[in-house]
Amino acid sequence: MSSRPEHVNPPEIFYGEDEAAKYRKSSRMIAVQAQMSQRAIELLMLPQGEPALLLDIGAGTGLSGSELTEEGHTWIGVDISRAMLEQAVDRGVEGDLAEADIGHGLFFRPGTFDGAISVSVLQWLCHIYKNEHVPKRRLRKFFQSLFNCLSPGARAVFQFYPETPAQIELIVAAAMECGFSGGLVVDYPNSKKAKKYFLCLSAGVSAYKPEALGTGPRNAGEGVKYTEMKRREARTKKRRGIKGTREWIDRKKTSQRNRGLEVRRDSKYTGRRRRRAFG
Amino acid sequence: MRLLTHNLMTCNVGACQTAGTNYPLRIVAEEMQQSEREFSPAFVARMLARLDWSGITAAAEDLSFEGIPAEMPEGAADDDEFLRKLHSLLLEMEVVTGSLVCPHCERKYPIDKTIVNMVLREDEV
Ligand SMILES: C[S@@+](CC[C@H](N)C(=O)[O-])C[C@H]1O[C@@H](n2cnc3c(N)ncnc32)[C@H](O)[C@@H]1O
Repeated sequence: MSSRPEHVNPPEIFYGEDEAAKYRKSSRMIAVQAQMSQRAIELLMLPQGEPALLLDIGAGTGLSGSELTEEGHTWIGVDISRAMLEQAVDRGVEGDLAEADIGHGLFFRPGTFDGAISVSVLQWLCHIYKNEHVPKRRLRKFFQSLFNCLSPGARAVFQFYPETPAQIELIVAAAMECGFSGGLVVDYPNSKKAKKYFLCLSAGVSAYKPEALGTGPRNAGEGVKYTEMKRREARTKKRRGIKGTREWIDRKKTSQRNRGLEVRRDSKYTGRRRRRAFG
Repeated sequence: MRLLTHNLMTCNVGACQTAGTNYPLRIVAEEMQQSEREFSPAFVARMLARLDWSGITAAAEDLSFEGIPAEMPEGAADDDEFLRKLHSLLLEMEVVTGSLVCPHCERKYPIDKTIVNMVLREDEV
């Protein structure tokens, strides 16, 4: 069995009553959600002492939202799981809740929110649960609608669990294409357990460079602190080629990479018939 | 669903988004509740610029609330009493059961247990 719930079931099934109950009962899960939410809020770098209107994307049982309330903010939460949201209602959270698939795009008027947080959600958009699902398109639809409903210069911080570097690339590229600036913050990059990814976006070109934790000398090494997103070259539309040619293979691989799949690297042997080693 | 949220949301059906005729959603309330909430004048004042007043009057009409001015009064941001009333309207009133209906395509979004269901079918996106 896969250790990644995204591989097993769509979110509205995985986050059913049983999973929702864990968010009520497991003090460990509650603590982890709270801690990651606090960090996400810190990375939002909102002006001190101003009560803001925030969006919680994948609000679930409202543990992340409660941290927003704690900070004196008002929030609206969206989530695709009815069971999780009902749990939030039963807990009596302060936020207002809507059941929605973020891959269909958000539905708020332009300039509605002062910021957004999202805890452990984004990786769910990289998968296909219905024939109509094209992850790249869903991500784009989502980021475009988010960009529109944020007030100019507002920020959004996503803690997420990327499965592969290609998945990070897919997500970051979609955000960029929708006009966001910002980058990836990796906290405690050298610790297997504490390592956490935060995608920090700004709806505008404000200087926004949050700093990662745990990248000091003792942790040095791969220490990716903050990677600014690079503009991607606009890709031109390509025609489908003849199956099996190098061109066709390259295009197919690109498309698979775009969907965040693990694909063999390109080499000079790509698409070539291999010689039998022993006669 | 509270009226602040209602004021900020639109019909998400693709065709309605494109046409821009997706606001305000009509409110059909079967059950409402009022719950007290901490009043922050600073927050309500901050929301003034974001509110669409036509959405407020439309909501008031759907719910048969009286005494809502046809336009946002001058100097609203400094009028504590007005802000308190608005706070109560936007953040304390809540639709528990009912639905929201798009004025354009008539799409119904059910509300149950205060949660509004905005999930679309794939062919509505
Ligand atoms: C790890 S939980 C987040 C829990 C939440 N932060 C809390 O405090 O309870 C991830 C959530 O993302 C939601 N989710 C996953 N895919 C989604 C989608 N496409 N649209 C909306 N929500 C989604 C799931 O339903 C689930 O509640």
